[in-house]
Parts: sequence; C-alpha cells; structure tokens
Amino acid sequence: MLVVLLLALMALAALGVVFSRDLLYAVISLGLLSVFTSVFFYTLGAPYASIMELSIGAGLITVLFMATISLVEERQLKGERKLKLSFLSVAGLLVTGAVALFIFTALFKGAAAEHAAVISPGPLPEILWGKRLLDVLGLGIIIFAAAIGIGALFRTEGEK
Amino acid sequence: MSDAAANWIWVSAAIAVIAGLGIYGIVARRNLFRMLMGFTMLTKAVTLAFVYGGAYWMNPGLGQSLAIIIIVIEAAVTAVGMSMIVNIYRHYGAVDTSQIKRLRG
Repeated sequence: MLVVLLLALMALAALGVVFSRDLLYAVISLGLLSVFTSVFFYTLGAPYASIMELSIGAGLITVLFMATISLVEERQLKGERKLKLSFLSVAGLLVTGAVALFIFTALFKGAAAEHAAVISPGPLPEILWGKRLLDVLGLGIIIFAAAIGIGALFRTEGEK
Repeated sequence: MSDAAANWIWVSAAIAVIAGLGIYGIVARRNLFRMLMGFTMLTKAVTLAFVYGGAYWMNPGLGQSLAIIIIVIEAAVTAVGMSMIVNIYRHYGAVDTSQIKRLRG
C-alpha cells in the first residue's frame, strides 16, 4: 500500500513537471520526484542509490535549475515574477504534503527496517571497485569533460 | 523478495508513466528548460528500472552501482545542458526553440 502511494506520488510529480505553467513549479515538482524516488530506493533496500539520488537529484540539479532559470528569465520577467497561488495548487500541495508525511512516518516506524532486513544493500564497494572499475574511471573522465566543457562554453562567450 | 519488490506491476506502470512523460517533455515542449527536465525524468525512470531490477532479482549491489553511475552522468549532462541554454539565451535572447529557429534565418 505504501509503495503504491509512493509510486502514485511520483507519477503526480512527473505530471507536475510536464504540465505546470510556471517553470518554478516544474522545478519544485522535479525535486519532489527525486525525493519520492529516493524514498522508494530506500524501501527497495538500496540506501547508497537513495542517498545519491537525494543529494544529487533533489539537491544539486534543483539548485542548478533554479539558478539558471533566474539567470535567464531576469530580463524577460522584470518585476513580474510573483507566485500566484490558486486554491487548487494550495489544496494540491497540502494533500501531497499530508500523504508524504503519512508515508514517511509509516516508513520510519519500522517498515523500512523490515525491508532492509529482507534485502541487504549488497557488497556495493566490491562491485563498484571490482567489476565496475572501468565504469568508475569513465565516470571520472565524464565529470572532468563536463567541467572542461562548461568552462569552454563560458570562456567563448567572455571573449566576444 | 520484499514488499516493495513484489509490486512489479505498479512499479512498471510508474516507470512507463515517468519515461513517457519525459519523452513527451523532450518531443512536444518548445522551452529548452522543459526539454532538459524531460531528459532528467527519462534518466530517473531508467535509474528506477535499474534499482528495481537489482532488488527484484536479488542483486541489489549491481543495480545500485549502475544507478549511481547513471545519477552522476545525469548531473554532468544537466550541467552542460544548462550552460548551453545560458549561451543560447545570450546569443539569441530566447529559450524557445521556435524563436531560435526563426532568429537563425
């Protein structure tokens, strides 16, 4: 039951990302989707993936989106940006918050511990540094390439 | 198999919904931010599928390791995509793909 509720919330958050009018609401929905996904990972007995999803998906990517949107829309929306909260959006937020609170309290009362007892996280470090060592090295190269790419993109603009 | 891993129909449906909405966001929306969000949702669906597959077939370590790799690559791609959007905005003054096409002549 809890799992189905969590999945329904994830689907609702995904709908909010695509169909919300304001970009800010879409970003908040994306962050909520990440939060629900990370809780679902935890119930599946995957705590490492859960913490990565929570820190990167809900934290870093949301902040990046917010910063970039504020950077881009500054000229277009001079003094216009006000959060217009309609009755429907407030009610939706309240219902989502209540359901999320119910799920979190139910999970941390003991359901999560039961799941964790059924499925252990597994020998992740051995897999990551043993079987998947090449992937991890490639990951480092990708992050490095991304950092260099971002720097190159901004430098080209600065020279003009 | 845990309770969470037993609900495979619901999880498959959620993965399909999230992936479908992500593809819709990439294909149908014209705002570059919306397209990037669609891509992020698509990668989230893939991550979900990997972690769920790991839990379902009782090999959570492998699923988690692949999920971690995907999450980090997603962050890197999103950061590069956003820097590209900022550059496009500075160059064309718009983040709408139809306007960008029109401005290019």
